[in-house]
Amino acid sequence: MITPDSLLQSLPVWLSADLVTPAFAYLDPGTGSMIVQLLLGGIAGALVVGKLYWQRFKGFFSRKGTASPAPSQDD
Amino acid sequence: MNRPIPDPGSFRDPCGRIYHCGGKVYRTITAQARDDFEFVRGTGLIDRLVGDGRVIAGELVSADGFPNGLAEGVAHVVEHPRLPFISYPYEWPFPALKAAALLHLDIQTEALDAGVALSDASAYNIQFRGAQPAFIDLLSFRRYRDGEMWSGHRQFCEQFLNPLLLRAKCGVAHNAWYRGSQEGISASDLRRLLPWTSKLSRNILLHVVAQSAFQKVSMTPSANGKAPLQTRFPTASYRGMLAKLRGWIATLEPADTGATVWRDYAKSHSYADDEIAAKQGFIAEFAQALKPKLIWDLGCNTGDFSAVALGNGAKYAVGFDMDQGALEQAFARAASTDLSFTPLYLDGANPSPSQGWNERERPGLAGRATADAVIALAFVHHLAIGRNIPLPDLAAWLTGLAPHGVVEFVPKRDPMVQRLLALRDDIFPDYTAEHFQHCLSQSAEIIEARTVTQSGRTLIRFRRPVTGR
Repeated sequence: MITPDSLLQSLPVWLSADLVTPAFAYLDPGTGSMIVQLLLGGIAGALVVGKLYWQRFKGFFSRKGTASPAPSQDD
Repeated sequence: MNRPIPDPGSFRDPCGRIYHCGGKVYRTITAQARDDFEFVRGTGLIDRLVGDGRVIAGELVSADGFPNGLAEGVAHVVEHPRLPFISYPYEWPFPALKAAALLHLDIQTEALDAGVALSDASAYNIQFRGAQPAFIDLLSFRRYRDGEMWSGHRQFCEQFLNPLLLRAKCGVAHNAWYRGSQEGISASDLRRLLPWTSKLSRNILLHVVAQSAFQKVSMTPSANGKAPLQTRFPTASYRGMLAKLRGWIATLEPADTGATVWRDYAKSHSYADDEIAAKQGFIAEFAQALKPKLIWDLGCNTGDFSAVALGNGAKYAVGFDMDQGALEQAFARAASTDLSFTPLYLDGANPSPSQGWNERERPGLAGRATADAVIALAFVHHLAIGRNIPLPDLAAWLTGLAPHGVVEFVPKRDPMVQRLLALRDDIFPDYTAEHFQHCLSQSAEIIEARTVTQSGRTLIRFRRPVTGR
């Protein structure tokens, strides 16, 4: 059954964002919590998450489209 | 002055540590945390929160009084009042965990107004005085930087929200799981258990489902050389998140609201009003004679006898029971009548062990046995017959908990014991009042034994020899 739960599960993403983290943070805030806060941070935050997914999407096709370099003769 | 002893449970935050010295409690603030500590003090936030009892008091004392005793690099030393009893979230009943969660969110919200943030969201930073939660960790308060994220959100979910949801959505009490997993309950574990209908809720979708799904995201620096995406968490969103969580948690109630075995025991028990009066009179005399600073009430039910002790000279009572319904009523009683009574979850046959890092981070029940007196009414038969604990072991354990005590012995002919024996063989030939008194007398002096019901229930008052323990 397709549920919101399973849809979320199927979305892999690598996040590369410069977030304002507290000084002396001795606690790992957790990626899940940070992305939830990005979404809650309003349009700007949601756009960041959207952009991350878009980069991932583009990255997937651009990697496929790029021919791997020919092996060097020296090998 | 005695050498200060570092508290084995206070090591996570490098900004300071708790020490015990000469019966007093001290907190150090290291040089790296000095600026934040002084900034927070300057805002007046802590004074306000201490003023209405939501944060434990802390008085600056001179660090010069601790030669060689403290770790190096200490900027400040604060003395805290000693609390009557330290309890842990796995011992709290549902309404206590909920009250603690709401306190945490309220403090966060007020802190933001003062330009201060909390660096973590550990439930262990909250302790109870009666049914009133109080925040105990001064070092959690830090200067808020505009746009910073709520770094304690995940911890808040694991240590407060998810254990509450387990009971509110699945009808399962948090205590046993939390005790086995001191960091609380993860979003990914809870997500597997929640009924799918509950996942239609925006709050659950966000704080449990989405958080758990996104937790698998790999957070790495930009690998392709591009500048990382710049983002910030607006203060208004931070406030909104806290307010929404608070509003939601305030509505959470246990899903299993049906009758529990002992919730209505005070109304439905098997003995008459004059017999209750006799029991109450015995406890009242005991409390008046001893005026204990701290009394433990094993099998406290809804707290009737703790209330009697407190009304007759006891200063503070900690109740223990394993019936969630009874504990919830006990907590409501303590809250509504402002009793110095904290009811906690405890299975007498399996008390909280010493656990955490090096098995010393969270002391077990025995390590916190500082009571002046203990009462155990309608308790012994549950362990002796319900759980097969031998009477000599039980007597030695009870007399080891406090130097003075009152224990009720319920004989076999009592309907409550008959109920325990209804579906099993009576393998307890030694279960008699005489034998139990003999067992108690091995480690304590019997001061009085009084039969208080027609069925033969006997209250036994004991005193441990001064040289005991």
